[in-house]
Amino acid sequence: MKRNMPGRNSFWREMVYNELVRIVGEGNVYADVADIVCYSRDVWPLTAIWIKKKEFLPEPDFIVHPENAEQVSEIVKLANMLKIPLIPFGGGAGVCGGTIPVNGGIIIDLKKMDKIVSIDHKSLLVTVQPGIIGEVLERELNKQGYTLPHYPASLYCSTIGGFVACRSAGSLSSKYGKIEDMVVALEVVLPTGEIIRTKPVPRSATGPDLKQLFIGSEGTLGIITEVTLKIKPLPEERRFRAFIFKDLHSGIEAVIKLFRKGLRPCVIRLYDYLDAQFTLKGRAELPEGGSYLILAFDGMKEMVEVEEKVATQVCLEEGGVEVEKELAEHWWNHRYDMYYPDPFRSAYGIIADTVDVAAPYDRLEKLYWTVKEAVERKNPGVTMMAHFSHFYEDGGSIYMIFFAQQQDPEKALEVYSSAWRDALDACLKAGGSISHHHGIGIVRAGWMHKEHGEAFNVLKKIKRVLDPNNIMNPGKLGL
Amino acid sequence: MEVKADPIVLCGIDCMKMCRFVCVVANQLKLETVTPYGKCLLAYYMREGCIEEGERIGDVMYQCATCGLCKEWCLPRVDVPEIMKEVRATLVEQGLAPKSTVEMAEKTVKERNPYGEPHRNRFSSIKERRAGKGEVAYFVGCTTAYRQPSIAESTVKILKTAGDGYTLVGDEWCCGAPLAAVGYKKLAEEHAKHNKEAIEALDCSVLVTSCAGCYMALSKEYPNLNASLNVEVLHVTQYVRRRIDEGKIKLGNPFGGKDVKVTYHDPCHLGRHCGVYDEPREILRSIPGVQLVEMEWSRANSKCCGSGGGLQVNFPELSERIGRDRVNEAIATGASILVTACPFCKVQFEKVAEGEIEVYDLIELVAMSIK
Repeated sequence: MKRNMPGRNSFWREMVYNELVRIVGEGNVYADVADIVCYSRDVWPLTAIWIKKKEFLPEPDFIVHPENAEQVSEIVKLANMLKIPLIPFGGGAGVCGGTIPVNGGIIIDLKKMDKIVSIDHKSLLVTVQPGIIGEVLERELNKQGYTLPHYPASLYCSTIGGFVACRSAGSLSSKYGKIEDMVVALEVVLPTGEIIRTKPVPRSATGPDLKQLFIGSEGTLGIITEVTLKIKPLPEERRFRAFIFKDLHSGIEAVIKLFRKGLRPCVIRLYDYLDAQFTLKGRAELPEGGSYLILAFDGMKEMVEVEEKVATQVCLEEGGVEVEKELAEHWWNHRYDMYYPDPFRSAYGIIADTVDVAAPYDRLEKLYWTVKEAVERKNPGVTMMAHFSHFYEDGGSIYMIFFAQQQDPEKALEVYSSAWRDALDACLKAGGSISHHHGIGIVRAGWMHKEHGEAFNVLKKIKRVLDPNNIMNPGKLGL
Repeated sequence: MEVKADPIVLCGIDCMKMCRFVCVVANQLKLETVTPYGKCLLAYYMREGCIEEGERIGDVMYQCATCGLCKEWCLPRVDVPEIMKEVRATLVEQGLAPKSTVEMAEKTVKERNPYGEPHRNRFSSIKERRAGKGEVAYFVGCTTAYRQPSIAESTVKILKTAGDGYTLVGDEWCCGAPLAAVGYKKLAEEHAKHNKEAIEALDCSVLVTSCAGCYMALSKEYPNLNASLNVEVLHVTQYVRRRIDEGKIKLGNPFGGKDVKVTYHDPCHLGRHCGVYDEPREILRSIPGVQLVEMEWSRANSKCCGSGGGLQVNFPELSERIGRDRVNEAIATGASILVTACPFCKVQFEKVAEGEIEVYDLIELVAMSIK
């Protein structure tokens, strides 16, 4: 086993350690191998292969636990002065390698900054520190009759800061949007240590929206130290419906018509034939090549009834066959199951990953077929299945899952890399975006220039200005 | 879904850390290293010989209350407490167990209790060691004997009230559960073997214990320690529930006729590890004046008091923070009394509650209620 200990000498280590202790106190700095290996990875499936290959992952030199923005600022100033990489860390539940310390450095674990700062009951806003776990916040809000209607599959294990830094999406996105639609204001520590705050106002005409620069920046442009989010009263009612369509095309057409009618189901999920088989497990009749649609509606009872009625009518008109709504309710009650270790994991000798892509309706279905065909044709033994997990007025996202049986770690690595390359190349060819909500991290970094074209240079220039010493999460976002 | 794959890989390599938000230790320390995921990742590296064990790894592996709440939130039902026991056994062999653990084991060998109290004083607080024909054997347990004698007195009072003759287990030793939890499996086997012989020599058909940890050991762990008992083992709450049904125990209002809000804490060893959730609640509901209110986390989801798995012995400050969080949850219900059914939990709650809520063992409340 190779250990990738960065080539720092003991004097350097002692100096940095002492400085970090000065800032956050002795109990908040970790440098033992036990901690280092646990912070060497997020849950990017590639890291599972590396571990099986008995490769140690890139290691941080230190892990620190700041307790407030001022301490974060002091750490950043130290790192900037000494040109040490800094990697913000929330739940470490990302799937793209976004927290892997590729050049060593300091991991700033923000989970000690996990307080609910305030709830504005009149404006329906909550202000939180970034390290609070999503489920913990949701439970606290529920006690007061509110919800942050943001239920990503990682809700139990990821943090609000992580959601914002990676532009996450939850199951109710069709109605409530992604996290970027919920953020009202941010406090950010810049790569040179200044603490900035954006103003928590509903709208303003004061130049570009600076907070959006940091949403999805994956720790490359600064460290988010406080977030103000919109919250909602808990819905009176949430109801579910489920339909089978003869093919994917009919299902997508039905969804388009739902939006044209002005309906806003909170959940719209459309499964392709293979994924529908996995999801339904024989509990409903599925024609060869058929698709499976789950809808949910929430809010005031009267409005839910109307939406449910009209949506059902639309689906039936489009050739949908209604199946037991309990099937959709079952999915809702088990919506996090897919995030647990399932048979698509390394423990079962399977290599798998998810490629979340997005496109407007005019090319959404083409995107699906292009990516699926490219991955399966070029990689014998690899199967791809998908569900369209998030729909909007103008398009949607596809959660494309590839998997293959491969016990040998070396071969698994080849298959994995090849499937990713073919999927992302095909996605760009079909006019899609290479990520809807998982983010870029390392796994998609090489495609950022193709994704954005010349516009990527704007991001690179911003990075150079804000982070002149390139200390913030180097190697991520293609920066 | 039953685990068919390697549980250490499932948890330490393949899992997204889905149980992290319920782990009482991870919630205090906020570190990846001490999550079930982190511990299993380290266990994997240890097993594969990829990492050199040191003092820090020793500490991390003992920063687990073995409460098992993670398993309740694990779809493949990975048993992290069991994995920890195995890992700790390795650390004990390598001399890397925390000093307090080693001292605890040494005390247990010397005095047959983890507190190092004189063995001869084990039953000194119990006036009558035998009554009637002694049909029921009472296994007192170390914490009750040396730290919570009122639980023993209450149990004896109840046994007498129910009309059962009882006897103590003459040369009772530590049940062995604390030893097994911290990696001393051979010593645990030795204690189990001794207790088996002592219990079976009594010729009783029922063995009652007032300790949740002893109950778990005697009923669930002894078969794995080659010491299956040929008697029925009951936790005292199960025994009391039966005798109430039979009309042998009648309860009155212990609060001077007033109604009092009471909340019940499920001890991990009694609840999650042995599935005893209903009997304590049924007893509480049968006590006049008790208004039972549940905490946010109860039954299989009960949060640990922080004492178990060697946590109190090795990391008292961390253990007490966990206990204080549980007390805060109890206070949030509006209850004025926190009831548990384990002397170990009671010791912890009494210490951290600092008088903000009254703490009783259920069996004390029952003894107070006997007409």
